[in-house]
Amino acid sequence: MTFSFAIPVLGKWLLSAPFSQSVALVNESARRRAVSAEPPPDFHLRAPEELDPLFLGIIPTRDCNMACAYCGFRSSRGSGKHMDYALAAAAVRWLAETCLKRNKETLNVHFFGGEPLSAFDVVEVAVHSARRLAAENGLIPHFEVCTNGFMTDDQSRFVGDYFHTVILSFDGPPEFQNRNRRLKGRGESFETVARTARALGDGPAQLCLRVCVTRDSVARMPDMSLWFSREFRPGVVSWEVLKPTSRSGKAGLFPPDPYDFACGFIASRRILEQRGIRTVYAADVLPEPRYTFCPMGQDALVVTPDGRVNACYLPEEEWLGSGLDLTIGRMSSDSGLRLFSRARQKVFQHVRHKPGCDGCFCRWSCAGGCHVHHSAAGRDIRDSDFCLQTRIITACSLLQRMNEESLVDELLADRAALEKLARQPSYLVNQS
Amino acid sequence: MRKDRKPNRKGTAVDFAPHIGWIVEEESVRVFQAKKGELLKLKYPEAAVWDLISRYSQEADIIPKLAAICELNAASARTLLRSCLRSWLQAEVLLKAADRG
Repeated sequence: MTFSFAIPVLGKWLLSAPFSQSVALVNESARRRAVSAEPPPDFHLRAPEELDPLFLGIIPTRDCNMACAYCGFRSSRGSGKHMDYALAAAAVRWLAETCLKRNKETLNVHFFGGEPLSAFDVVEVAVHSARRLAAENGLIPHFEVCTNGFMTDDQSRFVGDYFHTVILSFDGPPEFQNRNRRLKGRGESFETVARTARALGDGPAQLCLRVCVTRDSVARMPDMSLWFSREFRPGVVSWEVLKPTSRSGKAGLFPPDPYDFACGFIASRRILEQRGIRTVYAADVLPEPRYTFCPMGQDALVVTPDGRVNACYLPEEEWLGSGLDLTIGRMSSDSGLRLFSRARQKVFQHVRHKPGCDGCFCRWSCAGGCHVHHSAAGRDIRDSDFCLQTRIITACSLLQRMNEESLVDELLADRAALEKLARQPSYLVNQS
Repeated sequence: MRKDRKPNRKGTAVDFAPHIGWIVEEESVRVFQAKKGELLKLKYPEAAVWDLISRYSQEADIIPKLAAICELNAASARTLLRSCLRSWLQAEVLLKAADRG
């Protein structure tokens, strides 16, 4: 068997071959005999000629009805612009036509913001346009929304009736939710968001709770897991760490220690998965290797309220700040999509070009993390908190695949072993 | 199934008949009434009209949305809305507001 990477685990070596999905736990002598011959991946640096959209993203507005203490979006200051109904309908029509041309069955529409339901009328128009076109053309509509959950009961019923997946940002009990995720005017959001979560958890849509973990909440991840499962019946809990912004520090919010987060995540996953709830850390190892962390570089098209088509849902100022231009086209109600082919090619190349990830065993599972905030070209990311926690979580996931649960416990209890695993400079199997 | 929805439709020309509920399905909306069972299966574009009238009472709020959803001009959207309302009044799933007692 050939392996690409060797990861030190408490005096043993975890060998991993991401492209053949092989793992083994061996001693030092076996590691020395292991052969590093996994072939390089088929590395398509060019985008396919024809657009094959993963999904259509619609940003009905960048406005938001909340003012979260860590939000970096300009939306909480409010731009006011909502997407025209005609543009929303045209985007959906373009997607339906593209699906038919490419013999795809599913009309996959995702809503992002700001808070997308701040422009609820645009969401109604897009959803019903898509359902009408799907019914007329034998397609299956699929809707997903990322929301803060601060919505009316009418809106919550609509979401429950028509959406398949709801990603609800919810930071936990009142002491975290009300501190982190405040309303504009500084009011508390917990009661309304918890009511929304309960209503959606009781409905047919898959409820995914998206939890931002801070230095103050990291120790509570296992407790929160029990509480989430008991109170809201989510299908998925997705854990993220706080990304520091100019606001978050002023609010006294800081990212968790990466080792604490990794330990908290593994403990939470055990609790939640015992209760049938999928537990996600977005950079964790998947059943298949991947070259991009997110929909960027997979032809996801995200239409903004003014008709720009971007490869990423983040606001323009965030990617421009990282030296990236992610606008890949324009959508108009008259002429549909005008794609900027060269810009699309650049996005494909950007997501595949990750020199900072060379030699890391997570290269083909986390794929460098967020292309805008974490692994934009030229950044030295090797010992970033994201990389440290991702290596620990990935190694634990690989060990758990081999049912090495007691070794995972032993590893997580040994800070020195965790540091050795997370900080070793090179993991290539053929290096001593 | 949603039972006994109480949409906020005060002061409008029509209201839902008592004990009306509905289920949203992939391509349609099924409308039920307690004891009578299924009354209507609404496909598009009627399914969109049903959803919109459950939340909005004024034509001015409904017509622009319906026009965009169905790719119609405003006059045709108004005709579609009124035709649906007439037909559902006839089927007694809607009542004229004055009939509510």
